[in-house]
Amino acid sequence: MDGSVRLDEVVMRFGDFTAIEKTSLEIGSGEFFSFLGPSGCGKTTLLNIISGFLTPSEGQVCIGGEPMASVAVNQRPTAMIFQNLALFPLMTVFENIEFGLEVRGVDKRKRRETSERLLELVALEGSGPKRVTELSGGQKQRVAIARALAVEPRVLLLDEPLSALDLKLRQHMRAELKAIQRKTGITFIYITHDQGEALTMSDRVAVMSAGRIQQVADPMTLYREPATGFVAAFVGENNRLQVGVIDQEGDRVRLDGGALGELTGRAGRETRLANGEAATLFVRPEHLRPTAAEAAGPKFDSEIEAVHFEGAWVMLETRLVASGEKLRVQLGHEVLRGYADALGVGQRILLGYDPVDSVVLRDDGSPVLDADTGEVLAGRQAAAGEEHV
Amino acid sequence: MSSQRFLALGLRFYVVLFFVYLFLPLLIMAAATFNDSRFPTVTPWDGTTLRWFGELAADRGMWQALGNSLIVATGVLLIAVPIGVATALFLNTVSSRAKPFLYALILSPLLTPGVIIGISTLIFWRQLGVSGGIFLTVLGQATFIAAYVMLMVTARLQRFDRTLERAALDLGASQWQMFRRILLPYLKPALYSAAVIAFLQSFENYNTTLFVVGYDTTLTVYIASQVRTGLTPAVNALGLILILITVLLAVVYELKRRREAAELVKGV
Repeated sequence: MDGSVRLDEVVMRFGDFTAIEKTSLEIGSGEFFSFLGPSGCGKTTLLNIISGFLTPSEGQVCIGGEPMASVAVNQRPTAMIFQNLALFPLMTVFENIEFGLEVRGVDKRKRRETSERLLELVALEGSGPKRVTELSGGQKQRVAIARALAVEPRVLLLDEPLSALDLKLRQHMRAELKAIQRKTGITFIYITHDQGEALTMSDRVAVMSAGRIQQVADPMTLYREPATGFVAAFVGENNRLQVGVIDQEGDRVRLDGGALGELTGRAGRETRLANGEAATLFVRPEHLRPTAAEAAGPKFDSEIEAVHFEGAWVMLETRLVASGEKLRVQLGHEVLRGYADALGVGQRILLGYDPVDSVVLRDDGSPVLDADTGEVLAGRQAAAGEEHV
Repeated sequence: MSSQRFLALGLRFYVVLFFVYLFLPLLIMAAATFNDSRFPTVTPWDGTTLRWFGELAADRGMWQALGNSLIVATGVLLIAVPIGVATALFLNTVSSRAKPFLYALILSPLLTPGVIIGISTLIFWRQLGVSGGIFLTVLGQATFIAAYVMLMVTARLQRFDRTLERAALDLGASQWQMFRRILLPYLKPALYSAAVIAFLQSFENYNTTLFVVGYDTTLTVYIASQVRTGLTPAVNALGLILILITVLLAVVYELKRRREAAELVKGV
C-alpha cells in the first residue's frame, strides 16, 4: 500500500453551510502537495477529512487505494503536525516522540532506537531527555516532525506548522521540511495561507477559495497560467483592469480598456472569449516597465503616488491618469539604471508591458481579493468553515 | 494625613481585626486544653494541667467515633472522586442545550440543605431495607461531595488544550490510552486537591451525617452528643491535635509546592 491519497467527490456540510463543495483530487505517493487559500476557504476541513477527524457528508477518501470510510482516526496511515504543534507538555522529548510507538506496544529498546534516529534526522541529537517546555520554537517544531514520523505514516499532514515561527526560522524550516520529505519519501500534504511556503516547497499546489479548488498545478504554472481570477490575484501580486473583449485570435486578445483605449493581452490557457464579453486583464507588477512614447504595444500614462525601496527592487504605487485605477510596478536595478531622477512622487511615468506576460480571464464570479490585505471582498462569504473542528 | 495613608492604615487595622476574629477562638480553645477545670473554659484559670490528653486517650467512645469518621471519609473519597471526575469529563463532552440543565442537576445537592439530603437518603434506603449506619453515611455525603469534585475537575478541564487529545488519537492512541497517558496526568493536581477537599468535607460533616449514621457515630456526631451530657476539655485536646495535624500537612504541602515551582522555573 503506497502513500497516494484520492478524494472521490467529497462534500462537507455543517448544517446549512457547505464547507467543501464537491471535490475530487488525486495526490501521488511521495508528492509534496499543498492546499493554499485564505482562512475559511475549507483547507483545514479537507485536512481533517483526510486524517479522519471529520467524516465527509458525501464521497470518500482513499489512501493507497484503500477506502478510509471505516478506518478510524487512530488507525489511519496518516500523521498530523498541528498548527500549535500539540506537543505533550508533561512529557520529555523522548516520551513525545515515542508516544505513537508506546501505544502500539513497541518495546522500550526499539522505541528508543527509533527516537534517537529521528532526533538525528531533525538535528536534535541529545535533546531527548529534555522537557518540551525547555525547547525553543524551532526545536519544538522539529520534535513535532519527529513525533509524527515515528509512527511511520504513509501520509504526513501539516496544518500551517510554520505560522508560529519568526520569518528567518520559517524560511529555514521550509528548506528543512522539503529535505526531510525528500529523504523519507513520505507524501506530504501541507496546508497554508502563505503562498511563499506553498510555492517554494510544493510539487503541486491546490488553490482553494470558498470551499472549492480553483486550480491544481505546479507552482510555476500557477504563477504564469492562473486558471481563475482568484488564483491570478491570490498567487503573487497582480494588477487587475476591467476590460471588454474586442476579439480573440489564438491566445492574443484585443481589449477595450474604456478610457485607457485599446489594449492587448494574452488569453488564459484554454480560455475562449466571446466578442464583447466582460473580462479582466492581469499584469504583474514585475512585468510593467517604463517605456518610450513612440514604442510599440500598450502603454499606461500614470502618476507616481509612492516609491518603496525594497532593496533588491523598487515598488512604485502609481495611478492611471485616464481612469484613476491603481497600478503597482516592481522595478529591478537593471531597469532602474538611468531612471533614478524620474521616480519622484507626483512625477508622470509611461508604463508598458509585453502582452505575452499578461493574462486575460473571463469574469467568472470567483471571489475577489483585496489587493492590500488579501481578504476576500466579493463572492461567497468566507464563512467559518475551519471553526467546525 | 492624606486619604491614601488613612486608607492604608484602615486596611491594616481591618486585616488585623479579621485575623483576630479568625484565630482568637482557636487560641482560646487551645488554651482551655491546659486549664485544670471541669469545663472547657479559660476563666477562671484553675491551674495548668496535661490531664485532659490522658482523659482523651481513655475515652474509647471518642476513638471509636474518630475511627468511623476516618472510614467514612475514605469511603466518600473513593466514591465521590471517580463519580465527580466522570461527571466532569461527561459534561465537558456534552455540547447540547441540555448542558446547563445537567450542570444544575449535578450541582443541586450542593444547594440542598444537608439535613434534606440526610433525611431523603434515609427514607430512600429504608424502602430498600437498609437502615442508617456507616454505609448510608458514605452514600449520603458522597452525593454532594461528588459535586465539589466535579467543580474542581471541570475548572482544570476547561483549560485543557483539546488538540493534545486529537494529537494522541492521531498518533494511534485509543480513547483509553489518551485518557491514561495525556488527560489523567494533566488532571492530577486537581485530583489531589479534590481528594483532600472530599476527605475534609466528609470528616467535618454533621448535619447530613446525623440522619443517616444510625447507631454508629462519627466524630462530629459524638462531640455534639457530648455537649448535652457535658463537655470536658478532653474535646479541646482533640481539637488541638487536629489543628496541629492540619497545620503540619499544610506546611508540608506548601514546601512541596514551592520546591516544585522552583524546579519548574529552573527547568524553563
